[in-house]
Amino acid sequence: MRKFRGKMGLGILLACTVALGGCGQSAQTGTEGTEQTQTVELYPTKQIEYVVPYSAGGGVDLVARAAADYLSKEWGQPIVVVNKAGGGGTVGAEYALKQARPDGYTVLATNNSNTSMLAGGMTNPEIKIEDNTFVAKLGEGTLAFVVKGDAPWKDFREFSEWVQQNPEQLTWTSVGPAGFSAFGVAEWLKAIGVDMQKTRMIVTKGASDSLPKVAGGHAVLAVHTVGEAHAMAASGKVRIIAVSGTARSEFLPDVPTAQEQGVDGLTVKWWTGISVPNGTPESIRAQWEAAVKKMVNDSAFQQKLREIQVEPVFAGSEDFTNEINKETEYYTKLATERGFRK
Amino acid sequence: MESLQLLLSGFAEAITPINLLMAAVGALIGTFVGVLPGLGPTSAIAILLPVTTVLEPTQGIIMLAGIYYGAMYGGSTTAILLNIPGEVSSVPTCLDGYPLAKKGRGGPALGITAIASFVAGTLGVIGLVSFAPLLADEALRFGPPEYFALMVLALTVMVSLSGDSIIKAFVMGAFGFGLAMIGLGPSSAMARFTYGSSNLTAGLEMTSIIIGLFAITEVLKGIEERRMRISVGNLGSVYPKANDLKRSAPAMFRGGVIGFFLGLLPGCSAAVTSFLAYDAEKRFSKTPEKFGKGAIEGVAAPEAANNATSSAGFIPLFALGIPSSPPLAILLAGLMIYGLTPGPVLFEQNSQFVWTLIASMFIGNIMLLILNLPLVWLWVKLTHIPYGIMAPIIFMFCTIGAYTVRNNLFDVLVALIFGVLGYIFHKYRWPVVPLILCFILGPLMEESFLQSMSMSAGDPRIFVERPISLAILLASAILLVISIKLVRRTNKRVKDETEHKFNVA
Amino acid sequence: MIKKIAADQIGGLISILMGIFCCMEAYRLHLLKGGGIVGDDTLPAIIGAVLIVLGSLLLFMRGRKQHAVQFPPKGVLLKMLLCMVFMFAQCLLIPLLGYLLSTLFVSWGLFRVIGGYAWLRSAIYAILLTAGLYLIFIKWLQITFPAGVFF
Repeated sequence: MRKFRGKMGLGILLACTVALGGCGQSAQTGTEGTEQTQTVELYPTKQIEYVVPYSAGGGVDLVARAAADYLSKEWGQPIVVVNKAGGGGTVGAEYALKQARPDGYTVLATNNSNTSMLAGGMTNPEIKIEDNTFVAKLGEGTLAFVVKGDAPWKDFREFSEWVQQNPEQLTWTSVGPAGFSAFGVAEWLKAIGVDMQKTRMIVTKGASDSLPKVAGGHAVLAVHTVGEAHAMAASGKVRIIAVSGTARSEFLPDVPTAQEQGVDGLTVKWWTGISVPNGTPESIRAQWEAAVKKMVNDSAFQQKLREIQVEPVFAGSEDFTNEINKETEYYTKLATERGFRK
Repeated sequence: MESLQLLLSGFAEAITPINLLMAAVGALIGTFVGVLPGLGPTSAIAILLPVTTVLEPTQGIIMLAGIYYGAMYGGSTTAILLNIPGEVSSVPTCLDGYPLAKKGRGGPALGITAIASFVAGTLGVIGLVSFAPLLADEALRFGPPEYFALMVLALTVMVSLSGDSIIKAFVMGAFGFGLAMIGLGPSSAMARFTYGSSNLTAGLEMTSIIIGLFAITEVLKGIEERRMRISVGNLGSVYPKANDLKRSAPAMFRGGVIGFFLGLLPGCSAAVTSFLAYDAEKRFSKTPEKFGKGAIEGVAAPEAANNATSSAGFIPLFALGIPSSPPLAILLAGLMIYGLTPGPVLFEQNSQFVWTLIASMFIGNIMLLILNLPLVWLWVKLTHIPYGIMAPIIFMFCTIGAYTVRNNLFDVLVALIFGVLGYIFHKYRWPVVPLILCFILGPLMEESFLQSMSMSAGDPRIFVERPISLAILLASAILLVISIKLVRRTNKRVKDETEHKFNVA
Repeated sequence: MIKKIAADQIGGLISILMGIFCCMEAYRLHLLKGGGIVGDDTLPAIIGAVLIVLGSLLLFMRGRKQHAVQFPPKGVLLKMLLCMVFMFAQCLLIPLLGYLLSTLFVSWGLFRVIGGYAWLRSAIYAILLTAGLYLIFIKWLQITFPAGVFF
């Protein structure tokens, strides 16, 4: 008896929910219909997920948040930054590039660590460069070589000479063998002719973990972006003895480049951009590219990036893809040559 | 005493009506979000960060400070009333808070929580003003070997959380260690225990394990007991009795001091210090057998430590730009969105702002005390809702709480599996707290061990050659012996008193 | 229904098995690692050894008192089982039906099973709960759940 009543109740409620669900559904199909017929004019029509494969608060995340803020205003649809951290950036990337539908409503924040460095440092990474359709680059960061505040070396040249003589005394920090710092250090050691295997890597969780270690004298060198190292350097606890690249960082006009100090060929650079899964409609990709271009040229947005010590630099889909491919090739060669490719 | 002056002017700045309003609104929203099971301060700030960006920097940050403290308090509320810790640091609060709530003394427990937070917050501000720059320097002397020694010290806590069998506690601890190893290895980023699953590569998330072992298991226990509501007794006055206050005052002070000094070390989060404070309190207590069954000191000490650690965390954050805990990292993101880079630059260029913020943190604390003591009855009412309604709601919150940390359904699955495991552990008396403790400490310990080994090129003598590390290791050995003696004594006393044994965890 | 079983011994056995499992993984990692004394394989090996030793202690130590483990009556156990089935179902249904529908169904079932309310009353509670969750989490806090495949 009771069971019977139960079944009836189930039937009624099922009917109710189907009807209810049906209502909501028809409205949704409506928008999807218009989307299909007039994709070009009508994108986006709903909330966009902007997947950041790292936890909140890092450089990639802050740039993504600034961009999401700008573009939601621009397009009048909410763009929600979703942090899916873990696995060195592969988990979020896998979600955005492989699991999500390629309908333009899921985009991924990329940077070196989940693209070129992953491909360069590992023989069989979870996420390959080809899984991305790169949309645009948003910003860059210069590499800073950081030593203890009262370290005995006057400049980068002296430091490099010391390392040449005492490679086994050099300890440097990195998030892992295929981490950002590892490539920066490998390139520099190659330039000054030191065997990387003689030096020792101390694995840390990132800048907030490694800089105090350098400041406390527990590691000799840390390589981070200017944005990450800036605050500690200002305290005098650590010293930035050189920046990579050919030009001085606009945020540290007093710090000479490595090139100025006689070490040539340091090119590793941090950057962040946007990619979408393969199969995303071409018109949507183009719309993103155009919007990002406008955004990166907007002075308010530029100001926002400068506040977090990221240089606003735009590169469109084609240039961006070429840059990444070149970078991947270079990193693969570097990692193989220096013996840290896994 | 220059800092005192700056602090006073900070107060003057913070006590404008609009800023006070922001602190109040933040504290309320934070408490509300924190009360939702599974959502602790980290998630609360992360989720609410975009909401505050519409405000002016000062107001926005003050509101964030309110949210931060509110969410911490809210997390403790659910820990006490529902046995669902919002964050790892609230786990020790559950141990005695929930038994108190079951006894119908949820009111005083919540009252003490608010007061302990306030006392510790005050201690924290005093510490901040007196020796902020000095301590930031000292903290830097802690390198990997010292951290390793510190983790060993924290591990000794496990013994006193062990319940009736030390061996079982250690097995659970080792199991927790093992669980924490799932994912990419710290030194060469090799995948461990992952078997090709990308979800496992990311590792298990602490929050989902806690939700499973505490919240879901608790609901299952509730169904088993055919519970009608969580607490049937009288809720008791919110305002703690003089006796409760007298018993908790030294606990608050000790917890606050432990929390503050350890909180200065980057990476030593409230999760670690609240456990240490709970353990210390148990060791100091004349009646350690009461712990785990509703000792009010057992609520006061970890709550004070939790709050003091958070205050102390501002020292490395402001002086060096290093966030020492996940909620602070997100707060840092908040500061950066407002274009303020923490670090000494902020101290020099925006010192007014920093002290306003410190003052508003303090005000946020007071606000919490004023707003929440009268509101406690509302939360306590939760425990009077029929269980048939409350349990499904808790279940649904568990899903959301586990999901939102990483926006991943896999975490929900993990929470459910640990819910079932937690019930089995409960039945066969395997204590779960050592598992959680080791799950937190494991990665920290492994990392500092490997870092130390890189520093010394593989020579283990590094741990005993450095004075600070040696001292901590010696202290750990002594504490270990004392703990084991204490556990024996406690078990004996419990036996004498009640004839049969209780399960501590 | 009081059963006296050597539960701790079984626990010890499981612990030993897990220990062996850890050691195997450590060995696999050790082969992959190549050079160096310590690395990612060190801790798995230590933990494996600890689990084996502690497990053996539990398994072979005599004179340990056993606790009587009392399980709830069958009806209640079934209820608990059903709840967990519902919860697992929700986790699996979200990618198919979307968050709202699966929550509605599952909470309906949970109210019915745990509270023992009539189907209709449970349904009303379920609708209220789902609506509340929708307003707080999806509308206000903007949490994104995977969209359902079928809808």
